Amino acid sequence: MKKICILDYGLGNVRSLYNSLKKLNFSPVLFSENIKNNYDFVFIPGVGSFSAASKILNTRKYLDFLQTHRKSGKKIFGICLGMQILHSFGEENGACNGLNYINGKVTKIESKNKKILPLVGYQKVRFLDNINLPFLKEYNLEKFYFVHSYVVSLSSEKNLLGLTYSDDYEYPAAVIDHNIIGTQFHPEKSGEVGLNFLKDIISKY
Amino acid sequence: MRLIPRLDIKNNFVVKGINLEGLRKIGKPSDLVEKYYKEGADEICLIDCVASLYRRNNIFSIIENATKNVFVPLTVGGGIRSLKDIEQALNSGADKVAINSYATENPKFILDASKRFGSSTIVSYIEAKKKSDSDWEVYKYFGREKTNIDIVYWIEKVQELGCGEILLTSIDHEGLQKGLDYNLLDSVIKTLKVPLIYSGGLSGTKEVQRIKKNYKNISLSMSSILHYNKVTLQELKN
Repeated sequence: MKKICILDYGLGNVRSLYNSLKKLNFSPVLFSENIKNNYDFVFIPGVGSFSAASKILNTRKYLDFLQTHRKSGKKIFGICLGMQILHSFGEENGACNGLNYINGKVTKIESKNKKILPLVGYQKVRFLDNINLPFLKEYNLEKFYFVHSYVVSLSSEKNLLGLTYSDDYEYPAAVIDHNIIGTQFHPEKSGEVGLNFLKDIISKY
Repeated sequence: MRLIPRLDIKNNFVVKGINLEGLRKIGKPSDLVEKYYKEGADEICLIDCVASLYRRNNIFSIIENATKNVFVPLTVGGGIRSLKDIEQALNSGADKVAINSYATENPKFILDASKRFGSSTIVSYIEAKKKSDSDWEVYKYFGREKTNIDIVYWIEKVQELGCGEILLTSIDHEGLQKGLDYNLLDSVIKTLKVPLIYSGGLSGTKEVQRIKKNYKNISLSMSSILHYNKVTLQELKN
């Protein structure tokens, strides 16, 4: 059984993710309740502002924990804001630093059409072929739940794992760099498809 | 467009009225939440309809039970009047919190809540009652009390204060299953900067198609039509 940790750093609701993982018969542990350094999978959830997440996560306690897992090749999985914070920096409330595991920046959604924000709802995701994650083909063009006003702009295409579209706008829905992965969407709130996706990522990645 | 079943809760039961009055028992919250989840609800919304009036909140244990097997976003409202309430709702398994009555008394609460929990967590829940063909007034306490606040003014205000979504109920059309209040929708649509969920009066699949076609960024919430088995969610989705 894979050992899973949810990094509950105070932003957003961790209960949905916790319930989903329980449903899949995993036994997730909350970081705040049990700090060990031997997890197979560390989830970074989060809802709220990049600057708030940056302030909290860029402290010794969290940085050391994440760095240990990153270096030992364990998997780190960021969801929504937790995915955005994996990147170099965010432009909300002036530039501030992300974890810089993936080169890229996080910017507000801007569109020629008048845009209602946040973007909320289910959108199809186009997954790109990835040698290490061949099972993602099964999820190509499935719908996942998104809610966000900011998007990631990657420095390199090699980190792109999946794309989504809204009107005239195309942006990363999933990103990857070695043992670091992130989704802009919420697999834990995307119904049965999302649950299966989570299960596959945890057991096959 | 999202289809969002709405469950009004009173004393541990799902209830349903007409024009937010004459509440009748429908069933157990956890049964219905699970049923609608399995039928393909995009999200689910639970509103405790007496919490604000009696200043109590026992919806949290209901959410806790209801969310163990439900993996779409859940919005919870009714009686939310402090940051602590919001925290408790989120810890119980809610993803978003809907705020009505207390915000009309203390608008800054929307600002504080969105700052603390992020805009996308805070839904401004609005109950609108018609004054004329072009005027609606905001009500509180589940349609029981007037506020003297104009609907368009209020929608502008709550968006300014940082809510991430609006749940708008037409009191006049609510529970009747005779169609949405299109005058109301048309009057507020130009003001919208955040997504709107409309609730009140959905009559069937044709209306869903009409909204999909003519109204962008509007999602629909419904209850009577599902509770009384007039149509299934699957049919509404197709």
